[in-house]
Amino acid sequence: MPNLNGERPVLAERKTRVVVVGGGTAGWMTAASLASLIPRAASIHLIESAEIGIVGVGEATLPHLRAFITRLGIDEASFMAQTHATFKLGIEFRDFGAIGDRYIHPFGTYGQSLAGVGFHHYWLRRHAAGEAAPIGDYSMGVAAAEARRFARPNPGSDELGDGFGYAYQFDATRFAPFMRAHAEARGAMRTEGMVVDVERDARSGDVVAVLLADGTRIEGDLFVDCSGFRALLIGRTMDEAWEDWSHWLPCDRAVAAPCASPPGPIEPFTRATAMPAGWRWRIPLTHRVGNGYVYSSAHLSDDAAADALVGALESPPLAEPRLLRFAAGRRRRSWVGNVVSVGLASGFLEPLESTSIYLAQMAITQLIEHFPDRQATDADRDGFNATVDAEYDRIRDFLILHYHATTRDNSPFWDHVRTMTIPDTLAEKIALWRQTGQVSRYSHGLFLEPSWIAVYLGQGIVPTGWDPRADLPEAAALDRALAGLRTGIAAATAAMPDHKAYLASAA
Amino acid sequence: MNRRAGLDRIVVVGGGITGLCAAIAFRRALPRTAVSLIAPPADPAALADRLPAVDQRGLALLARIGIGEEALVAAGAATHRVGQTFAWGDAAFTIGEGDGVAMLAGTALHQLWHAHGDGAFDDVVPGAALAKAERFVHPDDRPDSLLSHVDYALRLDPDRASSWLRHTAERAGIVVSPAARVSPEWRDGRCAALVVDGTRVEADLFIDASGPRALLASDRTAWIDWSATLPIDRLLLGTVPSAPSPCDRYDATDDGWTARWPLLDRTLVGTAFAADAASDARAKRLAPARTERIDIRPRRQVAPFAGNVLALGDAAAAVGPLGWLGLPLALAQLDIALHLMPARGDGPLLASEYNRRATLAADHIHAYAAAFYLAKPLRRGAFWRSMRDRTAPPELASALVQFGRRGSLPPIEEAMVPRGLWQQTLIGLGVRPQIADPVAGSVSAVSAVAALSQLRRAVAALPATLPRYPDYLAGMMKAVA
Repeated sequence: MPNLNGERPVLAERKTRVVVVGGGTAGWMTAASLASLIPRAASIHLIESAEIGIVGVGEATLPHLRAFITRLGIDEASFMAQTHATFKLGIEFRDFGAIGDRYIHPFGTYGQSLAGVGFHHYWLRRHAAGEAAPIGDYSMGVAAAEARRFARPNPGSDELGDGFGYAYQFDATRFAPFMRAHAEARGAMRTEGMVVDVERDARSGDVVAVLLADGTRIEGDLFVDCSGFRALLIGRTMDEAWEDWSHWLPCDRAVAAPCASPPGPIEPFTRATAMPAGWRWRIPLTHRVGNGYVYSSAHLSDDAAADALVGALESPPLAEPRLLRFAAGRRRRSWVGNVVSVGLASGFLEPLESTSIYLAQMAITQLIEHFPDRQATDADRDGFNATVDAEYDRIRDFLILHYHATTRDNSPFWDHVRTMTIPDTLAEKIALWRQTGQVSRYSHGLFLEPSWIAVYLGQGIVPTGWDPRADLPEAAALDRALAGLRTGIAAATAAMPDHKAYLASAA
Repeated sequence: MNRRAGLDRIVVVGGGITGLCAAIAFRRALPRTAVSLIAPPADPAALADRLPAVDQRGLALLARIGIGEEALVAAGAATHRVGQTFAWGDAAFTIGEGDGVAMLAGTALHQLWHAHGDGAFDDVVPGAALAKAERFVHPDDRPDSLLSHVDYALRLDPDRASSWLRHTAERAGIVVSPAARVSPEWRDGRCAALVVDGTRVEADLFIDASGPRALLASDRTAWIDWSATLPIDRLLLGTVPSAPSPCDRYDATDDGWTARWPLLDRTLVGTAFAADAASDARAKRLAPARTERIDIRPRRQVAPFAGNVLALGDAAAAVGPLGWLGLPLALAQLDIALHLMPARGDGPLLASEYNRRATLAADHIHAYAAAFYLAKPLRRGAFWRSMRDRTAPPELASALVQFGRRGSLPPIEEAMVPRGLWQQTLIGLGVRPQIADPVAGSVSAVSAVAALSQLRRAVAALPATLPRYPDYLAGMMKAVA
């Protein structure tokens, strides 16, 4: 029931005792956030076991991570130094729409709207006439990435309609310890141990305490399940159903191996290269390059995947290839009773668009937004779950697009994703784009209009119609404007420092 | 070649503000398109045209189509609204337009006030303070200035604004013609033609801005009834002489409410009630001697863009008189239509996308208007008592659950009302969270109280530094003229 009595809200007399189970990326991000942002409302106790390795997903991130570290009061330079981070302007996709194709999905926009009509409509008109350069030439983020250059965007200037953002590529195995130091400095407690049993309230089913192998019993009011795919609390204990999306996103394994950085520039972008049974990532850091092959085990054996990865590396691997298993999908509800799942325990979407850390960050933000007192209510759970579900579902559609929008027909894997039945929500978006050049617009969600345009055009879905107002300007005038924009972006990019030099000067 | 050919001919039906704005907007956007406007006799219940406000989004749209605030003010057709006072329950509260001061001491202001504040919330809202003192100046954008946290809407004078807009429309090349009778010829889900006083008129796109009668609706047009959640179905509208003010005032009565809406040289006075709870005679006791009775039927079309007919204003959604929300919705929907820009040969997909977004906007504004009746109906009187067991629309129900739990609001697609305005309204209506926001609760009480007190003092001191509104308005009219 809403409070209609007009009384001052209760400041809890005792803090909500939060027990975080699992000390990977998600666990320490949760602990650091709660300890930093709501120290008077929550006490934090994290349990982790050295016997369980961390997945360390998400070497590549999204621009949203910047807001996260800023909100926690973390200095960007020291964060970057400790995680061997490089800057990231977007993702290069190779061989997705067709073998030989490539495009960059930038963190930013293309061109500038004119008379209320989006730039891409004008571009479509001139493209149809064979008069337009690739659309990436009209994006500052793409142009800078292609030139291996980087400078921080200047928030004051947007003269070329050239807004771009940036994120980081970093060593994920360094990120969790960095978050841990931040959390422990702000009072988060840590206990080393394996959870062997879970004590529940007989009546409500809520979790009362977790029991560790050494006999320790840790009580709490709210339990955050960051135990990864084991899903110790949300899955094994609460038995919350898993919504399986593997029929749309069939990749269920990855094999990962770092290699030495090549001489020459450091790319300010992540590369995703389509492979016969999935795709391969390449993430350049300051001290090495991270690589991995994400594949469908129904279409490729683990040994063959490892061989294919090693064979594709630019230099010998620095470690034995490591195998990861996963499944695409999400919990039907990510918060049940007094158990909230964050990270892989909550859901998994493969790293094609670097969303793993974002999804953990988003869930943490929502947890703080819906943080309960000692007794969680339906209002807390429903509010949290509605937002988390919508985020997963919209990202899912965007990822499926990368597979489905292809003409590749040279392997059973690509035959499957090209011909599969896609979700209605995605089919409607694609049909609208094909016919009208319009992108379904949402106020919330991770990937907005420029991202959809990047992937649609990058993977060969070119609309047959566009906004009729784009046909109004005289062709010569429009071509002059397009050329001016392209030249301006090229000149601005040429004035940016080399990415590697910029990293060295910032260090 | 573009498979989407531009529209050759658009016909707008409705000579009120909604229809005129739509005609001018399409004319400016499509210079090669013939736009004509057919004006049947005005529908008296077209509240988007008769109680017309323009919010900030609407102002931006009008500016894009060459309708400037200065020109409307200079024509005596617009005044500014900086806030609205509601004497709704025990204590009157005032809401300021826009978001107000959103953040203080690193946390949401309203959450800090919930956790640590005393006094009324509108004491820390600069726009509300201006409204109470009947003062207004335009906001500035200096980050340290309280005036950067003030916002405003325009109230249009329905008669002067529509004649000014009509003049503007004709100068823009729009043919405006009166008509006694207009009826559509529907065939295969499209309007093949309009029959206007016996003459057939064809077009690629018809815009139905004819008011709640929705003259272009077909027998297959489906409606969603809002009468349970927007219970006012009668409005007595009168006029009294007055000076301009930037504040509207609403007083709850046993049967509904009364309102004073000041324009440049007169104030519109409304008495709103529900026919099943009060007779006309009973309602008239609270109204001026001469009033016009307007019958209201709150509802919206399920799919306001059907075939080649786009309904706007009360023809698409009738949200009632409270807050003058009809024109802001109509302009927001027009904005969506201009963004998507229909073309000849479009299949149903574009209309579906329009309908998805436009009805989200309509449902959001419906939920906001319904809050004034359903959020906390503790007043006496049969009208208010009957509100207590009504079910809130889903968007309001979830807002009440979340706000009543922790003072937060769920995310909203196609938001029509700024979050800060929602917060002010729910606080004013008496909805209080059970638990304190943990971020606000983690600010020390000493620094929270100090920051709130400092803000309250600054807000209280602001109005005295500003001119009286009639002087400010007169200066603006003179400067433009």
